[in-house]
Amino acid sequence: MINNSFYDAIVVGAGHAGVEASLALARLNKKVLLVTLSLDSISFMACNPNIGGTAKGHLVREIDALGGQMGISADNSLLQLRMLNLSKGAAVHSLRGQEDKTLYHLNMKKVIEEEPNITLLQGEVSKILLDNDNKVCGIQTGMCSNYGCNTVVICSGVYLNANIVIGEYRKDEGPSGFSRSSLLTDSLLDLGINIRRFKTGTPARVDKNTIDFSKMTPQYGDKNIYSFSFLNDSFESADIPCYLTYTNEKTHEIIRNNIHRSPLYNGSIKSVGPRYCPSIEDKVMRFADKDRHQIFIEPESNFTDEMYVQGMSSSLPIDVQLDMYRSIAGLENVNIMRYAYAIEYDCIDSEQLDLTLMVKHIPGLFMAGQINGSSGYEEAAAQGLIAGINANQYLDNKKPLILSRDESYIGVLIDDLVTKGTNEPYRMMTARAEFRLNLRQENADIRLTEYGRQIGLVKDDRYNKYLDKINKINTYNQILNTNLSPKKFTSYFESIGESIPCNSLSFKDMLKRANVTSDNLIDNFEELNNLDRRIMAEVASTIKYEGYLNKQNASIKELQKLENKLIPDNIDYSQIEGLRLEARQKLNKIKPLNLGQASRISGVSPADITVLMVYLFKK
Amino acid sequence: MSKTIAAIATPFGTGAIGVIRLSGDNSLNIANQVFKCKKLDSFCNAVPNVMYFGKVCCGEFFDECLAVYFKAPHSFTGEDVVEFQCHGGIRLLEELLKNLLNKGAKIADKGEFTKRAFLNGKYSLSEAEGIIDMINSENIASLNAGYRQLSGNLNKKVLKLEEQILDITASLEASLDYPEELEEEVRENLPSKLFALKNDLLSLLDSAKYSRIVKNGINVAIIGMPNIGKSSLLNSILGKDRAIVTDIAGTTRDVLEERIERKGIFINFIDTAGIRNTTDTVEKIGVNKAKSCAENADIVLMMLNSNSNITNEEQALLDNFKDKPIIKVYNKMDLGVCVKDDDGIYISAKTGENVEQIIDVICDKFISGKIDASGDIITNIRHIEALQNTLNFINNACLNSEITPSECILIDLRAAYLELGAISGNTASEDIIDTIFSKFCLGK
Repeated sequence: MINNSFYDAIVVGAGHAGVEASLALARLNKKVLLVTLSLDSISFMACNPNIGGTAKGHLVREIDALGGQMGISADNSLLQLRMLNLSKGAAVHSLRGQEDKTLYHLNMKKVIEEEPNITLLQGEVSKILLDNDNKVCGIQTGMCSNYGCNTVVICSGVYLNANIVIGEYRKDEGPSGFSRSSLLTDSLLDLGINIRRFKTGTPARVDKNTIDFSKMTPQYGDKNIYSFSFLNDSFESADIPCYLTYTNEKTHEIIRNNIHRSPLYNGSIKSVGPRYCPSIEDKVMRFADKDRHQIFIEPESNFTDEMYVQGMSSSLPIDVQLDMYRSIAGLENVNIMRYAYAIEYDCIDSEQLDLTLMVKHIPGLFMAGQINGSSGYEEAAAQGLIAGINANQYLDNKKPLILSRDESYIGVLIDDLVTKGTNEPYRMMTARAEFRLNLRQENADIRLTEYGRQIGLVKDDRYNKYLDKINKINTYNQILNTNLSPKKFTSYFESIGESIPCNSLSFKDMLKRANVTSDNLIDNFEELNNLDRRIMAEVASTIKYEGYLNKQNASIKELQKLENKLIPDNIDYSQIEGLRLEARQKLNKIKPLNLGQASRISGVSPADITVLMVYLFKK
Repeated sequence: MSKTIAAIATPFGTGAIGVIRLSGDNSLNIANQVFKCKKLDSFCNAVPNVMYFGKVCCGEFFDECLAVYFKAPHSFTGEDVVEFQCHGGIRLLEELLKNLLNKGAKIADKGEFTKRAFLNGKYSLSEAEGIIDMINSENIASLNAGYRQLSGNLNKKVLKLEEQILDITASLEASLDYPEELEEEVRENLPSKLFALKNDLLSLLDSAKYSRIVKNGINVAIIGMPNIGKSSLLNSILGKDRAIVTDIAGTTRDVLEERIERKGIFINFIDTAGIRNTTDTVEKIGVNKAKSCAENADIVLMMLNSNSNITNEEQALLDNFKDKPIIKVYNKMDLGVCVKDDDGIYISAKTGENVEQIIDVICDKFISGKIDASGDIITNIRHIEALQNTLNFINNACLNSEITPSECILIDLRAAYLELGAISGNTASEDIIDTIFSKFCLGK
């Protein structure tokens, strides 16, 4: 550990964003001070005990491919591993791990502590300090000690001026009893950063010993699937079950009878909550025709008997909560250990950031995670990694890393936040990725490892694995061009119910058939026996999707033409004749990097883009 | 590969020749499908910058035309370009354009040729200035409520189609992003839903095939006091005795309609009963009909007497139609002129003197956009093309829809939604996400 009062970078907050940001900076040889309100909340999973899921699993794989930490730590804390959407195409296969929360925190804390370039400090940051050039030059803590630095990454999560709400009870504190940060918001306001108030919530944690699991359906993980990190080739994961149960008419009646006591409905919570994360009272009131809602009981950790009740987040008073939890099959005698609560917190207007996640008007000040209006561990970690990398590039005066929408979910996430802004906590969804078929979790390494290598976060072991994979993909593609006469595949086709053509087919032709999978090709043809199944599956995806990938690639090409037209950052849009007023205002606020980004700003029309093009040419 | 675009490059309605331009990688191929020339087996082998004489297929008929190929990058846009020089006339050009769109070209957006030229580094400063003017005028036009607005009925149908697509899209998306939580079976009725969508699109396309003006022409109502010479004018224009002409006031009791074609534009002249207070029941019906005819016409042609002052009744009529494009025609100049009106046209229906001038003025008004007709043609072709594209995407989505994975069907559905968005102005990504959450109960 180093003990200087000057650091290259200071990271505020040690949640999922903060640890990625500080590890990225430290691994790129920067001296980092990581300040957190509590060392016991490093990488704390304040809500659900899992990492991954649809689109989020993709984000974790991308973080891993770039040399981030989340995938590795998630693999080391697994309670169960599933691949969602296995019945659908490869593009939407989504990895989700049930995680041991306590272990995840401990694993991550150890990684941070063992990183020589990181100095850990428990404390509350109260001020961001700027020098005379309006550049970041340090921070001040609540205890009035100053620390100098050249760049700051703020990853304050949901802790800024947070308060929790349970019925009429309201308390100024952060998640799960951790103390909140009360000082930093004012400093941000002073810096000209717009503050907004968002809301989210979490369900109760209940005592495993008071649950009747016989009334529920156990759910186990999937076998033979690869875990998050591309560094891991084995299938080892614990397989602790989750349990499925349902709400019923009685649950709904309790909620309806007490809805006037819900802070969400009686007006005492005014901040904006996420639509994709509705409380149970929201679900019952908005979807009155549904007679039941799914509830999953999930293990929190091997170190505790607490169980997470997915689907039952609420801010109703505790007497109502107890009644409604106990109305559910299997929870009749349940003991609630921590009640469900809603939490309100300060976040910033993400349109004030540029695509590197730096505040546009304050050189050196980066923001990542929930403070930017996103939600979710994976979204936070992805931003933390990118902010950390770009803080490093800022320090070294090097080209920043900006991933595009056609090569990564991370690119979609950041572009959405920065270009379109968000009016509710932003969750990643595959529906947001217009080039979804290219952005598969299985090929995140193909898409992003080179970037990680150039930045310096991808070490030799990862890079060699990647090169080996590229080689194999090329070889396999050649092998799969081999033509076979019908008699060679007749019995195989008969066995899987495919019609038999009279001409010969290549393996590639075969793969385009619905019932042909890469695994059963390997099993049925000697010449394929020694191929790597994981890589073969990936090659098969591109073959199966071929026609649709071509369509997507055509639109990607159109997009890239616009993305390649760069816009200088010193343009005063209010002076450009021909732009509509709304477009001038939005463009001045967002300051897009290129015409592609400009075209995605809401309120900027295609006609405005043409005006802009012409203007740029004239310049 | 950039998509190949096409548009009529000469102004609407004018001139002895009309030019249609194709630009993009596929230009030669598309041109070859519509243009045949004795000198070439295939237009794909055309030598650049050489004019070829041949026949071009304009839907149901052929026309003689010249075609020239400019090879990329030595063209206006910097892409492969083919230009057809045809005879003038909107109908012919529209038919050829439609045919090109059928063969795979996309209709060019306003300024798109210039935009491509810019993107390919072919731009000159004067052109840059020009395009700003054009975009400005487009922005002003788009503020005008009439622009882009479809007839109420068509608009409703488009919105309904959008809703149908959004509905299917949102349920498929929800099933991909919430595989564990979505209990509804979204794939169950998919093929039949897509089929219904396809049928709705087909019937809409049928009904929206031609824009009104191209199909029906400009409606010009001839109004005026009885016996001022309205029927004589019509006969003079048509060169035949179509209307019954007598010197008894009130002879024309019904509405007569005749069509002529000039400069490629159809003009429908509607001869109406003379407008005066009358007690004759039949004539009264005719008078009312005349008023409503004028009300609905694109242009009102008000006939006045060149040798007597405007009467109160006539002034009342003029005031009545002051918001419509109006042409004042002073008849009976052969009997003398005592009224001075610089905006008026002085004619003699009897001798035919200056009658052609009326037609020139009507065509001018149409071409200069004063009767908001050229916009109608463009938007309508755009709408038809957007609907056609939507249909193509829905057709793709229908193929093997039982077994195609949702994420693939969604590519066509989203593309279809974007196409309809070109008409309605809605955008896909947020609409879809809004619909997912309003329709389904999702989330932990």
